[in-house]
Amino acid sequence: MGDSKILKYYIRKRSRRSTEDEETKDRLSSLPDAILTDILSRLTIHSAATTSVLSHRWRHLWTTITRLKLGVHETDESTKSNGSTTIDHILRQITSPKLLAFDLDYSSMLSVIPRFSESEPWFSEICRRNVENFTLNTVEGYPFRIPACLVNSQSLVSLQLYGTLKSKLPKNGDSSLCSSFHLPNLKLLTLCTLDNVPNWLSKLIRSCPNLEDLSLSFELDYNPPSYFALGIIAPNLKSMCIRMQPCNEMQRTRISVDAPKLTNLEIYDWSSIYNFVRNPTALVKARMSLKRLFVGYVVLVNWGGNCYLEEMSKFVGGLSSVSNLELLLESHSNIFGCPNSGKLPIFSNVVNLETNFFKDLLFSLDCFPNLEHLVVSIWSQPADLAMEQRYWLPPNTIPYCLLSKLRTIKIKGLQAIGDDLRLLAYILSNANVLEKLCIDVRMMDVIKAKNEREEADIVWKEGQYCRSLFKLPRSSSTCEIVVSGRSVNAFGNALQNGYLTCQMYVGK
Amino acid sequence: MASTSTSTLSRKLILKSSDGEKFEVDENVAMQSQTIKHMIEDLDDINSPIPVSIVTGTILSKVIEYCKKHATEDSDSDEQLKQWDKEYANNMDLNTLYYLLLAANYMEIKGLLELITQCVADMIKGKSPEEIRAHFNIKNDFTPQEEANIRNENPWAFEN
Repeated sequence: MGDSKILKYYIRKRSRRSTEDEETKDRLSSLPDAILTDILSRLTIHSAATTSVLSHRWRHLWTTITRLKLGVHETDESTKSNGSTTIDHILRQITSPKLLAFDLDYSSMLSVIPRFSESEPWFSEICRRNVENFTLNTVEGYPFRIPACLVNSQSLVSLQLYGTLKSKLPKNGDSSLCSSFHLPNLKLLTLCTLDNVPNWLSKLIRSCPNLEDLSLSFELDYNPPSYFALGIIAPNLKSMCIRMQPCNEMQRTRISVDAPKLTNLEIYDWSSIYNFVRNPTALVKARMSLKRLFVGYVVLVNWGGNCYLEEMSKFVGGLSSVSNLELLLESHSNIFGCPNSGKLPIFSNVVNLETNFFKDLLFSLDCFPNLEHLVVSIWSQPADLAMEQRYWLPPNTIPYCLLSKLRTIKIKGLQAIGDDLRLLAYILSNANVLEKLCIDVRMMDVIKAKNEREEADIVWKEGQYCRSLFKLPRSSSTCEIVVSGRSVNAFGNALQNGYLTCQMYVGK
Repeated sequence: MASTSTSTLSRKLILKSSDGEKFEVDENVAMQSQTIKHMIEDLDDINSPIPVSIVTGTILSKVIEYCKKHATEDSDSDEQLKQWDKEYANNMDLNTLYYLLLAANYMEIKGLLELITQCVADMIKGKSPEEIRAHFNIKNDFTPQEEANIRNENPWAFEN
């Protein structure tokens, strides 16, 4: 009773000054310094510095800001007086002994080559101010050397470097700098992107005992064929993302992960071999894309040959505690493709699965006994028809999750080729508790249609496909089917009296 | 007092404003204020009103409105909550914002303090010094010469 009721005891004795006085009073200036500093810290440096002329009260307030966001502009290079840039000038005026955030952005430099050497004194200055969150955006294509002061800091909590990062450390001797890595409070590290897998990286990660969030991106340089090794030892790591783009198939990396507290994992990498030192048992969500970003690469099957598949299926098996799994594969990384199913991992917690393999779907479903929601995205792999143009074989036993768990299935980009329909028939006749099947049809020859007549023919074909789909016997009587093609949208849960309920859009 | 022990989940607290107005709130609503949280820890009898000495009833009711919205986390999505925050801040006049800032600062309610400081920052953003003075009734106590000198110190800030 009266759960959220406010009891009001009305004892209002307001010393009412004239309302005019109330309204024309300068309240802002009378706020405490700490609040005003906080307000000014939320402005751009230009807006903050502007306030210096408001009144005596505001004269030096802006120099106490704790968050600094500076952009390096092309004009800075030319308008410098007595050898110092605007940024030097700003940094000299800032008085706060502790900076919450420093953000330096080179990205508006388009025509002038950035002179990073000039920025080195800034970094030392910023590090002296005990900066907690450091973000740097440099210009892509201009290699930037990671400043030494950033890898040895007590205060840093987050360090995010974007741009083309040189994998060579500053010249004062790689080994000595390596031994001085010390980031005891760092929780978040982003290095995007490195042109190499430097041998100091494992050491850097090890020097951050409190690291919770790690994001690494590699675009390997044109080097001779090389083998890299990376060891990620991070006892408190919760979230990890790795993107690897080798410049050719001869560059290979072995990545070993020891992060037992991992809850979130994202990997976009078709070439490296991964392994867990200890399996992360608290993993909730994993996204693994083991397919190429660009079609141009040739995948050497003999990269360890079966060794790659074997080790990667072991690694993927190590993810078995997840409840949400996204797994994108192609021929060379199709860990579900080889029918020696003895080695396939079992994911008993997976409820949501998103994949791109369709023909091997039924085999793989045995690995997901509790799967309820399945999404299959087929369309984004024109290069890998080998994976979809095969014929599928019905498994010896009907997968358990199909019989009693699967509630929704979404298929994106079904090409309606080969024996797709037979596979759908198998699914529909066995999925007892299926509530909804959504199919997005992308017939191959749609793109090829040259004239209206051919287009009309496609509409007809799509309609026919829908019709045959709706005619398939369903073991779940309440299952709704939604089909969307380029010109036909059909939905419903029955083909009534031989008639199909559908919408049609003809033309573009 | 008015504490009806119908629910064992949330205890009730009574907050008393500087002008004597009393508000009964759920404990989890009040606990968003670090100051009150610390006060309760030292308090033996939680049924006695907790004084929020520098905050008036009018402002305290607005603070409670914010805390109530943010106490029930899972009812709204982040997006909805942001929208609510935006409307909440936009409905305040300058005077109220000023008192809310002081209240949030004193009561140590991080989210509310952030919301209002950002709101004031947005009012300053992109304005010329003259416009800022006009908006907040700030009296220029510099001589024209002094003002010109300050502008010359950081000419980059005044280019446009």
